[in-house]
Amino acid sequence: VHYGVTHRQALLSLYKEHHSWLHEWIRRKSGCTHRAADFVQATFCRLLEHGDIELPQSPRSFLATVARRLLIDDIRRREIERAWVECWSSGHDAVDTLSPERIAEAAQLLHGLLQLLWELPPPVRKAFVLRRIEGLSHDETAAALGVSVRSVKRYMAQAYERCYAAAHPDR
Amino acid sequence: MAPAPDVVRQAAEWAALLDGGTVAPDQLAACEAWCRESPMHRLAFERMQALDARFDGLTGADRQLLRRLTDIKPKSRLLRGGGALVAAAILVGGGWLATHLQAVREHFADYQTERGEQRTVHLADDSNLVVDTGSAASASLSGGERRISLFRGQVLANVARDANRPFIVETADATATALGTVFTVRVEAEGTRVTVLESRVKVCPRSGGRRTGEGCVEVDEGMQVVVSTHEVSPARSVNVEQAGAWTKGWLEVDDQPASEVLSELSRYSAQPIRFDPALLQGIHVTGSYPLGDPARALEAIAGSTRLRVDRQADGSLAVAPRP
Repeated sequence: VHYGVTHRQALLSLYKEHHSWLHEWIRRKSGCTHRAADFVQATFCRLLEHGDIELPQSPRSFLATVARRLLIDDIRRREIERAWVECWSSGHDAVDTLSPERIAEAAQLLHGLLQLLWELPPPVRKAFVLRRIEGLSHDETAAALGVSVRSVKRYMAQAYERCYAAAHPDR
Repeated sequence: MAPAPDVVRQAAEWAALLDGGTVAPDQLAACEAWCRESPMHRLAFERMQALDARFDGLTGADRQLLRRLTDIKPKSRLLRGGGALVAAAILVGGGWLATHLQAVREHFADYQTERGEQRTVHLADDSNLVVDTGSAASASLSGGERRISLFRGQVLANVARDANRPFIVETADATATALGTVFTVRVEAEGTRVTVLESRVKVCPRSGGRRTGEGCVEVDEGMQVVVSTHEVSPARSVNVEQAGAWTKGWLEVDDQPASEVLSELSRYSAQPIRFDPALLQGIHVTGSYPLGDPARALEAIAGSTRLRVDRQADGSLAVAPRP
């Protein structure tokens, strides 16, 4: 395990040895030379930010794993931003009143909420979305799902519990 | 002291039961009786209700997107994330995945203030937390420690003595652990600003090995530091009275650049305050201004400097030097 200065030195030699390889790897994955350089930077920044991770024996597959996560995350974020702007403009006349910060903020929150909802078992998720997002009553939700009102209440309780855990991870 | 898992589960059941719309009076009474059994019951139930309120607060666009993307559960791992992603996040100790989860925590935070609003919260351990304008924070008091998560804005912590339970304010950048009583923590673009008004505070950047205590700094009374995820800035001395004045509703400044003072005031103002920092260069402000009435504060600042304030058609306040 490397800490602080030693960690930084280890990263520096990791960078020297592998950054061109990583650049090429990302370029092939993303098909874009410009962005590849950014992602190489971002990958090493991540590692630098987390001062107490153990650097593994096979650094290339480790670097590739981290870079891959960053690529996926970036695509996902843009997808959600794009979808949100689309939703937003369907209810508003002018998109130009939106600031980039507002879009990024909304996307980040929604990304988190989606992650939360996707983790719920499908019937629980459906019930929760119908009730909390669509605003249906318990009766209507039960009818829409073809289950009893009792089940809806049980699903809602499960969803509440899960949301609570996300909102207050340390309880 | 934090609600136990079974308490959270019961609170979730109560919330689901009462969520239905038509609630029988005896159900309401039974829930109230359950809440009265323990402060932890009440806390857990109130948090469930807060979850509801925060979902209700989502905009139309937010709802539409959630509806659309939860409906078509993505087959692709790309959108869904899942186990491998979580594993990778753990691999690098939190990281970018955590920022989304962080956004969710922020959205559901226990204490949230609007622009211009300040709130004093009395915590169960007898500590007080003053939550400044436009802030979000959650409190978690467990048997082992007292932890305040500050997501945005500023808090002042007036910490009740308890040698066995450290009192920690954490932000995305750093942690500040009370070694005495009163300090403020503020989240800013360039890092987290910690100001010690009484006694001392131990400040640690996130990335420093917390186990080794590397990179941590003890900040003395009357001193202020800015912490990034990597390091703590050199401490600079501040006027303690001035630094804590916001908790009493005052902005106290002593020969400070006008653009800094206006930025600070705009945090409290419902109307945007607009100015060009370049035009305000060389103009300094001294005085005490009411945060509860930013428009009046602005008039007062203009009156004592070479500035003028114009109310724009869109309601914003434009500040510029007098011709």
